[in-house]
Amino acid sequence: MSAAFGQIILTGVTMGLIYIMVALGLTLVFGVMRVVNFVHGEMVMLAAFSMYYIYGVWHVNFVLALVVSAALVSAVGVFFQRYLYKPLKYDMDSVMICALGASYAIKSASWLAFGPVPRHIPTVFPGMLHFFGAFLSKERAAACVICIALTAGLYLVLHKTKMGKAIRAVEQDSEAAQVLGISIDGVNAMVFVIGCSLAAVAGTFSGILFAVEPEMGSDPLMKCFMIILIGGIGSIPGAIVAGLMLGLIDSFSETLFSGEMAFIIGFALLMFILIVRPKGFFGYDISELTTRRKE
Amino acid sequence: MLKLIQKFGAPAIVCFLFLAPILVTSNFYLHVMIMMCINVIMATSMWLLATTGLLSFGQAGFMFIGAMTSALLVKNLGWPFWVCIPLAGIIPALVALAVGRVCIHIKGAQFFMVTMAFGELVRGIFAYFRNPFGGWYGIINIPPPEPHRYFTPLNKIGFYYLGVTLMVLTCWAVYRVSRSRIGMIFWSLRESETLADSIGVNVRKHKLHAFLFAAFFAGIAGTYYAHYQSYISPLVFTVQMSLSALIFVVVGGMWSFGGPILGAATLTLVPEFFRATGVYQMLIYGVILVFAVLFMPRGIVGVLEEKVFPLLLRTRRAAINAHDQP
Repeated sequence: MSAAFGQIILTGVTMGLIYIMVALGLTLVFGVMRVVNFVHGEMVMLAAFSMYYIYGVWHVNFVLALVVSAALVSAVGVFFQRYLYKPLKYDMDSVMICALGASYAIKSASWLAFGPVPRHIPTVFPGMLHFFGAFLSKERAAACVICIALTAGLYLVLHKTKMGKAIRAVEQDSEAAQVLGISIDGVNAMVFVIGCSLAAVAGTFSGILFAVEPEMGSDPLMKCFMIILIGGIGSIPGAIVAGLMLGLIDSFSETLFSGEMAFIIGFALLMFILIVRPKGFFGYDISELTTRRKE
Repeated sequence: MLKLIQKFGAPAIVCFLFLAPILVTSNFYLHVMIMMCINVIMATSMWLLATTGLLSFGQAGFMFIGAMTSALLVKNLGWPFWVCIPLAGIIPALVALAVGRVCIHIKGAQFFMVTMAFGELVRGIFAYFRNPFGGWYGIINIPPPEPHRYFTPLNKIGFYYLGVTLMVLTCWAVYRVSRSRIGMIFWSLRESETLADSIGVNVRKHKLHAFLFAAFFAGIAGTYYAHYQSYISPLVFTVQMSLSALIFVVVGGMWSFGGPILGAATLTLVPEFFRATGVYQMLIYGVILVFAVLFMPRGIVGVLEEKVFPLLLRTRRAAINAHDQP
């Protein structure tokens, strides 16, 4: 019983950490630019496909392949920021529809290019770990460690470096930040680079643990919107807490009840939390900020 | 010219829609027109909610509740379809009353997410209870409206007239509401809630009313969809469906009543032009959305007003100026 319990917890934590990787990018973009970036899920998918080709087919070194995929996906992200979101002046409704259209286009283009057959990125860390009666494959453990390290790294970057300070300043009040000489475009591009790189890592590990296919980005995306809203927009601790919570709830309710019940419980909980505390666990009142900016 | 359009534009379009089956006999085109009617109903009811500044992702949930109500009543209890149509609007509206009472105070992105969660919750509940609702397989063989003679799958003219009637009624109702005192209050909420509150507008009540209206018409669209397709399941009323209602409103233009109608009509017709391209259809649709938003920031209506009818715009500006400076 305790072994099964441990297994459920481990699965939940791994899923939660991968969600957190995607959600951190989304929460940064949402926090800084106030746009709903529907393309983020496609970034996860594109990164997984580029890892599949660079690492799995052409057998380039894993780390190098990861860096190249992250750079490719970041280039796509910055392209979207520069040529689509900026001309739309980061207006929430238009950017949402624009990103939605781009996401449809990218998804169907990758259906055409890659076909519906699921592929796998070959594993980097073969073998199993065994503790307290629960099994954990080494690749899952590696995924957990890397995700935790990257989250901690992101926290340090945001709170200890000058660039992180600039990002947080723009997040709080973009006009005041501009007055102080911070380049808004630079910060926005930087945020997209960070978000897309995290998405690339998430895509790589979900490609190793699960499968690489054109639809792999859409399902985690909705989960990640839930995570950033439950945790509070723009808040890293919030994303971590909400991500782990959602991963654990998913894995517990899928084992204990049926898949449909897990579905119901997840969304009922989301509704409940948002009704009771609309700004999320750690967030500030986003509506006040947006109205202030409009004026 | 302008006065002629204003006076006879809408009746002319309605007459054209009612006479169209004389010219168009192909079932495929009738099917496209029927889907257009459903989309216009969804978009206009969503637009009424959008005039208060709220955007809902959960319209498909209300549509599903309406569809399920009338499908179960007609198929299992043998009630006539015509009794179920109003019920299929009222029951989603009651659900919206319950949901709205607790979540209408939420703003912006959080409101999107609450309504999206609601839509998914509805899907999940209908998928979980296999006994009345049919689980993921949904309900098949929903009987068409009475008299069955006029509503057969092979001859869609009956469905077409029903759809056009529902669409015209919805548009008329939404137009009347948006031009009434309540409609003006909705607009004022969008401009500034605090200001509206300060002059004695009951903010919660009016937002709730808009939410109820949107749910009512979504339910009507849902029941029509159910009896037309004769099949509903949780795989039909997904987030995509709610999103497309939002897309219609934004692409058409959020600032005027013509926006959602034009948006829904265009975005139903345009993908059909590319149906022959097969696998490229979705790709082209996505690219069209991107460019539509990039080059038409105020929607199709905005382009019409700025580029196509410069005359119309000038007259309207003059009218507004005259009104502003009495």
